[in-house]
Amino acid sequence: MGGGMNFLRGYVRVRLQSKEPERFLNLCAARRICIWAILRRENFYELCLGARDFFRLKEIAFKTGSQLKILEKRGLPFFFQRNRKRKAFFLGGFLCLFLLFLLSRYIWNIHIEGNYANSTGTVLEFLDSIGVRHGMAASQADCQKIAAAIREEFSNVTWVSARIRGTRLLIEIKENVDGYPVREEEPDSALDLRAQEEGIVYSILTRSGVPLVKAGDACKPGDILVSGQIPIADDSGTVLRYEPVRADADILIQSRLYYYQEFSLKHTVRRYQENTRKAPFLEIMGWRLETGKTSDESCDYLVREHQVFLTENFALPVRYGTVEILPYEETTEIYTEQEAKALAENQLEAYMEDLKKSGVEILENHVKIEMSDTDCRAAGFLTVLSPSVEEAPSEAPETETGKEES
Amino acid sequence: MKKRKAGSGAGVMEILQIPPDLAKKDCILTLCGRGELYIENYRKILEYKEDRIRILTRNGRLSVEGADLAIASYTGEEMYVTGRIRSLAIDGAGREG
Repeated sequence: MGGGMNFLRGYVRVRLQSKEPERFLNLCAARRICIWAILRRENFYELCLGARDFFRLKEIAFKTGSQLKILEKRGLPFFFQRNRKRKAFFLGGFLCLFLLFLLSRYIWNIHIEGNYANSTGTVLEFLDSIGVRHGMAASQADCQKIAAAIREEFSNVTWVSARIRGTRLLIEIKENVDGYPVREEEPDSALDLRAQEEGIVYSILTRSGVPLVKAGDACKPGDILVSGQIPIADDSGTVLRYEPVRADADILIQSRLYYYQEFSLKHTVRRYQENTRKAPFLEIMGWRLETGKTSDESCDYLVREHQVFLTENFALPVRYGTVEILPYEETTEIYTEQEAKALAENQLEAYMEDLKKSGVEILENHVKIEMSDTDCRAAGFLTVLSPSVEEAPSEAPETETGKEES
Repeated sequence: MKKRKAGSGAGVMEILQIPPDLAKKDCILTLCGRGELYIENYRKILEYKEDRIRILTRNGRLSVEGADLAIASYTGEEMYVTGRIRSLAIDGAGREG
């Protein structure tokens, strides 16, 4: 029998004084009385046996001329007997069990896995909007409805499984990992490609549609570069009708981008002092308890905040952390010519980097940096190549046959 | 006649591949280091002292000698002896395997 069962059923440690201890032990074994931890002392034995078995020893003790004395009573039944007058203790125990039972009927952890494109926060926010939140009754959580709602809300979710295990709501998600959402195309809709900027067509490679410009032509914003109407002509060259298509082409337009940036040579510099200090704080349901944050001097506050989570995603309205106070002094300084030029160049570089990232190729840089007594000014233009075209609905021109009919 | 009977019984057990501890209630001793001894299929305790425990088995009298010997637990079939075991001996009044 395991130690746990012995404890639950209760057992006694007894002292055995006997003329025939071996016979006593053999009789116990024959009657299937389980005895353990038998220790031989000087002229007696100590052994453990179950509380119920103790009453069966009477006959054996009589037969073997043994004397038994209970040394210790151990286990749960004896514990209850000893503490039977401590009503508050038992009440607390029952209350604990009742609370455990009560709390086990609610969802205390919502676990989401398999989500990559949709963050856990986003999914939790959506679940909250449909009434599925931490602390809700488990009986109110309809797993099928939750799964259906997630599939409906997130278009890139291909499969959802929701199930309740104990006090946890486990949601497994499989997303469409191809990355590209399916574009719903209208097969009959005709689209033109129009210029977005004024410039010169640098190159054009048409895949579908009728190109209306060639490399070297000038264009203005709104000009149709590739038409989505393909004329269908008869043998005489008369256009019978227009076949609508979705115009598609790689077009690069050479254009000018004007750049202007100006800043004052006079500027404010913050010098942080060394006497920084930290103040801990505790925030419960929006009420913040903090010490020593107030400061008359000018300073920055660096807040390190932690939220308390009861379970993996169950955030309590309790936050704690520290506020680091960084006092500083402000002084006014003037850029030297070199500093100002370097700053202006850095700003221009950053602007050009952003353009490159958005797919624009820079051909020429005509930006000049000029200094005055008070200001630094960078002005000029950049010659760039960009795919500045947009799709626009195409309208079919009237055919000659149509005119004749009308 | 008796001998032949016993011999034929052993033959049947061999054919059926029944292990001897089940077929003939042979004693099994498992010694772990020098501190723990498991005895299965014993019959009764003959003597229990700190320096010697004697047990009757069907194979003879088993004598465990050592120091601080104690029967940690026992049931009708098996016994667990702890202590510093010095020697084990079976003398021969029991049935030969």
